Amino acid sequence: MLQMRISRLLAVTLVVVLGLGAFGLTGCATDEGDETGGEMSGGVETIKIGVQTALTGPLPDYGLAGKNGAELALADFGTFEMNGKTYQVELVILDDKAEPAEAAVVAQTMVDEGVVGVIGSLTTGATLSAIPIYYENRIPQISGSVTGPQANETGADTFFRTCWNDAIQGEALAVWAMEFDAKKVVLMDDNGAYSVGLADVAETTLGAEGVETLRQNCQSGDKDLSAQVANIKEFGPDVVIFTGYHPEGGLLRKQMVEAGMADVIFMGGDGIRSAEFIAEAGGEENATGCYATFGGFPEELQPGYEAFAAKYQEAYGEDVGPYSQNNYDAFGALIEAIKTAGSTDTEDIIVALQGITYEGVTGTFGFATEASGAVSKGDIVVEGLTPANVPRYEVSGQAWTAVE
Amino acid sequence: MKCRVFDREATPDREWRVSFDHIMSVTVGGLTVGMIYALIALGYTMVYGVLKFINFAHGEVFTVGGYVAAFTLLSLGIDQNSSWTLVAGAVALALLAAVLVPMMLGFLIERIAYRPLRGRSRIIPLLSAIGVSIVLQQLIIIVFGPKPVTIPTLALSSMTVSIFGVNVRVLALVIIGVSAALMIGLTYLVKSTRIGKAMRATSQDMEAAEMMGIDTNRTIAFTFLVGSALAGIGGLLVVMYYGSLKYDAGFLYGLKAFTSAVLGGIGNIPGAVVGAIVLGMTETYGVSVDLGFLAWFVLAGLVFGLYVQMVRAPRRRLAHVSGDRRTPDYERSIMNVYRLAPYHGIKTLLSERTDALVSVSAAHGVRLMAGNVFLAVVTAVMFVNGSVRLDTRWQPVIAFVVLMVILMFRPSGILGEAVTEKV
Repeated sequence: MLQMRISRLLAVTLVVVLGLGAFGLTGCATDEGDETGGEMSGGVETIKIGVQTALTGPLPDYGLAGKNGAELALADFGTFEMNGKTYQVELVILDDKAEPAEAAVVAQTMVDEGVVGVIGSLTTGATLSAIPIYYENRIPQISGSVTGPQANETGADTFFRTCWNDAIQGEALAVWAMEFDAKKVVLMDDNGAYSVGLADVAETTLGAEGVETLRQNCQSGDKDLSAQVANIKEFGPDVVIFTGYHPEGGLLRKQMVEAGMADVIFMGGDGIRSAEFIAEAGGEENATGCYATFGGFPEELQPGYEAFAAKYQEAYGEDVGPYSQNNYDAFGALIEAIKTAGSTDTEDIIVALQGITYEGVTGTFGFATEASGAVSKGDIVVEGLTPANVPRYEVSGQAWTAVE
Repeated sequence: MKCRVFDREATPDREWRVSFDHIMSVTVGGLTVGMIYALIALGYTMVYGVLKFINFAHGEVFTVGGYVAAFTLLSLGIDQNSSWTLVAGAVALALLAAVLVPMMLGFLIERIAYRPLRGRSRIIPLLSAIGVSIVLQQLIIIVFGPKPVTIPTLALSSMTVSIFGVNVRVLALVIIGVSAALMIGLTYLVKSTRIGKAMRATSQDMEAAEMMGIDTNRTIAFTFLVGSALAGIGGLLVVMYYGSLKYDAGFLYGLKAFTSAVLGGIGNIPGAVVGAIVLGMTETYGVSVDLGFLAWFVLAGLVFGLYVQMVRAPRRRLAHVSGDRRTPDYERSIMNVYRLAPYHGIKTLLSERTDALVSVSAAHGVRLMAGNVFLAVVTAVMFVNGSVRLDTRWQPVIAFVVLMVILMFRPSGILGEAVTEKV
């Protein structure tokens, strides 16, 4: 009991300290703003935007990159004119440690702070417990890094995301397999939530088109896949889709080649798109004929990436961290929605977000207003993106290269 | 939540089927995995036989063997284009390294972590063993890095040979052959050599063995040397067969090998191999053969179960009874509590009979009967759903159920714990 009380005390203290830290930071920012805006005779209204991320816990590097993205966006879009008034955004940065229980507390704190919108959270699990609170209090929430297909299963209209839903890869793999004219497809996962989700979507998509499928799976860490390979060989597929990660994916490919199935097309999601896969599959010779999709446009295809990377480098002296530009876009889209709505009323902002078309770093996008197939409500809708043009890669030599 | 039990629907018009190619590749796969478990299990069982203690660091010794072998092959720079003689030489060197380094390691572990604690309560060396296993895993990460080690595909490891028209990897046959040969060699070593005699003596009574002039410290060190060498050979074969190894591989392999050793009868050398084969075969057969085919194995298990319940168990109980008490009436009452277990057994258990042997036998008989009823139901269900194949998600579950059922009928393992002929 005492330990629980102490840890709760620590958690509260941490939240307070971080909250104060955020005040301190933005306090400085407004001070600087006052030097120039002082002559504008106090027409400045302050609104609060929350950043729910995980600066401690298992993914602090991801959390920091997300926070940096939001802060860069604050510098660029944080002061704007609307209805003849100047608005100044103040960030409320809170840490949910990527824990569901903590995320609910953070979400409630955001509500109490009176934020008009939230950027975050960082992880799918944490988002699941934050969504109902934001939904009940009608606060729009835009995540730049939640890729889990199950994040918005409830279909909350307050949830949006600027990164791709993992499920799109499942659909993309199924479509790609059908482009190869596959009649029989094996789907194999590694029992992890990410992997099973992808394989489920692919299986449904293929099943709807009348393609015969066989489902197999392994445990992460398995070395011997002879049972699965024997089953696959007996089934005689044209394509094998493995939705897990490269250690098992490479072994599966290797053992398939050794069982005489080198000519079966091998596909996977971004979990196998690693140079390690080629080595684990037994080298170039075995890995040729392996294909992978990727859950986002690669950096060179993101129109604003170069400028963003330069800005990031200047501000933090390091390379862009994971999903940083997606958080930057989330903030930008939120401000754009406020301007479109012409109001800081959250209900108006939600409506504006649903109809928005935003030109961001990662491309021009809007948000899905309805769930359909693999797409859930609030998912990013990238202009011109279909399952057929999700980035594709193939093994060529010792590396993965983009498929034309 | 969708519950995925079967990966294909049972169709009434389709009989369960079994193609020779499929059974052959599943069998070879299962045997190969089993033999790899066996090589590691031999080390567990030998150490247990002598010291009555589980050396949990053994799995990590295996991993070190694999890493050393892989880095030897990599540093010699061989690839698929290397000439035969070069590859043979490199593999020989890798074998040497994969035997010597684990031997050194095994010797040091025993000297540093176990010997100073010998004679204490048994839980203490057990804790020390878990500690050593954690330390070794960290050391592997520190020395070799956290990325899995991969070796280039050699012509040797991708070579196949046709057996009854089915292509089988030569390396799989090598693994099966090497493990079988090592098991026979080890049995000879323990049974017919001087040092084997010393091992058996140490196992039976360490103090008495010391008084008879046996250097027990040396004998125990020797046991660790042999066990570690076998694990190292296992590591080399795994690296050659699968092409890659990760620093934490030893945990899962160690666990399965330990299970094999218990399943076969801990302390028993042929038992470790039999247990490992049963485990490896269960893992592969369970999820890659239709239930209608598997049902025959369960049926065989049921026949054995009935034999245990009807014939062997009562005979064994009666062996404890001295001659003058062994009247025909008494014999019949023992037989009855086994053979008519539900009726007589439960009646005996409920009555206030004072004969301890009869009531113990009644409880045993009811337990065995319950096991046989379970097997009969399973057999029936499997025959009815003959064309269904279990989803691969069931793999660990099946292995566990088989383990439980076997240990229920044979608590001391398939070949029994070595009691009189300790290792």
